[in-house]
Amino acid sequence: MSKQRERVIFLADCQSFYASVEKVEHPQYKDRPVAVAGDPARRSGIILAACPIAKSYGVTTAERLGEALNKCPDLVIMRPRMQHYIDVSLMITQIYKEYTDLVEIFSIDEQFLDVSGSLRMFGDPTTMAQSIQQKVLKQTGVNVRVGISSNKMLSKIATDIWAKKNKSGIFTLPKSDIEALLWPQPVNKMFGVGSRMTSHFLRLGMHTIGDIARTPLPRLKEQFRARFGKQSNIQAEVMWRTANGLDDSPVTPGTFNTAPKSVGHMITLPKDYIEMDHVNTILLELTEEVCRDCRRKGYMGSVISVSCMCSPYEDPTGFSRQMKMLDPTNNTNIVFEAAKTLFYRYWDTLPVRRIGLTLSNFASDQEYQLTLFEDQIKLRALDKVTDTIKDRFGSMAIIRASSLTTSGQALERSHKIGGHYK
Amino acid sequence: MNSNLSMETEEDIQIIKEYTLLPILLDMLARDIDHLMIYNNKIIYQYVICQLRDVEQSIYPVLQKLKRSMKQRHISILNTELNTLGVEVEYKVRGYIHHFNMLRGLIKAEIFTMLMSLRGGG
Repeated sequence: MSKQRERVIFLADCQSFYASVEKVEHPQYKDRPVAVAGDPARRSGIILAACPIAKSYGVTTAERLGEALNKCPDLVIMRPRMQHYIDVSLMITQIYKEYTDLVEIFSIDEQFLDVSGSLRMFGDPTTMAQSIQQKVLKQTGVNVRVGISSNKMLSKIATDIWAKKNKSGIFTLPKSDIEALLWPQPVNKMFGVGSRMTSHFLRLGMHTIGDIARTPLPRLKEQFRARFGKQSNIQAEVMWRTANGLDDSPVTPGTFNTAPKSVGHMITLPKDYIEMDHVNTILLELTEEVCRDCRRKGYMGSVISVSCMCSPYEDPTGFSRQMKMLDPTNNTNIVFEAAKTLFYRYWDTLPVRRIGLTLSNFASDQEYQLTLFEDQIKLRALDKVTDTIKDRFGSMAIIRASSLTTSGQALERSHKIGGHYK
Repeated sequence: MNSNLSMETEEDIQIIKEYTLLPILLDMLARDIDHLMIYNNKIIYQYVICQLRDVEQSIYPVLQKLKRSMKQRHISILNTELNTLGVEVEYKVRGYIHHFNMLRGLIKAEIFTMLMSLRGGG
């Protein structure tokens, strides 16, 4: 039997993606520090992306705008244009598809490419990565860094630890070099390890990635169980496999086409909401969005989750609770009633800063239970009509009257994607 | 040097990029010159029109040079389409079909940069 050839996987990452897109489209700011940031007046004033010049002043992603301006008073702040970034990202994905059909979107600025089958056509992996870099740069002005290895996990690590730091923006991490290159790195550099997990590992006496990799898996599981409880076996295994560079998952092009497990929306309010009427307006708007998404996708949910964060920001209180509804539904009015019941059961009347609503446990909306007390057909027809109007004339073409009050956020949200301006 | 000669190079992509953007720049110049002609009696506008015509004239030799390079490198444009998002070009490099897309915002910025470099003759 022939020996199976090792895969060649790229993780292509766009450098300071939003800031790069803005910078190339505004040549006047070529040599100036540029950052893309939200609107502080709407409590979204954080740095979404900073260009390398801005980063050299110490400006970091997710930092508050005021802090960034203190570090770099000359910082040019640009308003985000999310739809445009999505268009550029899709264009970059199309470029990658000229090299291989196995392209998996990992995030708006990161994609996995399985190029094992295209190497004969394009030469060695480094030449291919250089060609990709050139083509993306010429078409979009964005610099791409490429981590190369034999699986997705190692290529991601190769990008994060080395390709992002070196001049060429390309780094190859062969599986045989893990012990020499990856294992001496500190634990906080490992993918999936944040500040809290780092402190856990340090308390367990594990300072480098190699310390995790060399710990026998049963022993690591035992240590995790002692620290995080009985359910942490999987987490221990994920960490151990990551440290050992083990990942068999394929590059899956259709990641975004798989059926969702839940559909949810969340909003950070521009000011604290105290009145029940005001909170109801937001709950109804969120319900409308969630149910419309479900109807568009053809699902009905039977479990509703409501989350709430109350002020102050520094010491927030809140809850996240879920309940099962009588029957699966995607009808706005029914879900809204359930959302109110759930919210007011747990709300302690403190000022509300953030609310989220999610529907899950889906069933197809092609088969539904008729009830004696509701005219389901009429309700569904009404939802269908409003959806058609919104699809054709925009989401603001028909809205609830409550959304026109001062507490309504629907108009503002219609100008945004993911909480940032389109 | 590429291990595979049929693979498109950085220079190939640059040629395609310039060959796509320069005709757009020519269109823009022609439109702006027409627009400025309304004020032809004002000396400053006459001066600007002269400058723009100089830029326009300097583009044609560049385009010819690009065309020669394309022939030498066996590059041919198959289809160019301007749409609401930007420009889409389908082209062939040494027998292989490739695509070049550019969004409107970047086209505008690139054309501005080109115009700056072309100012005062090519």
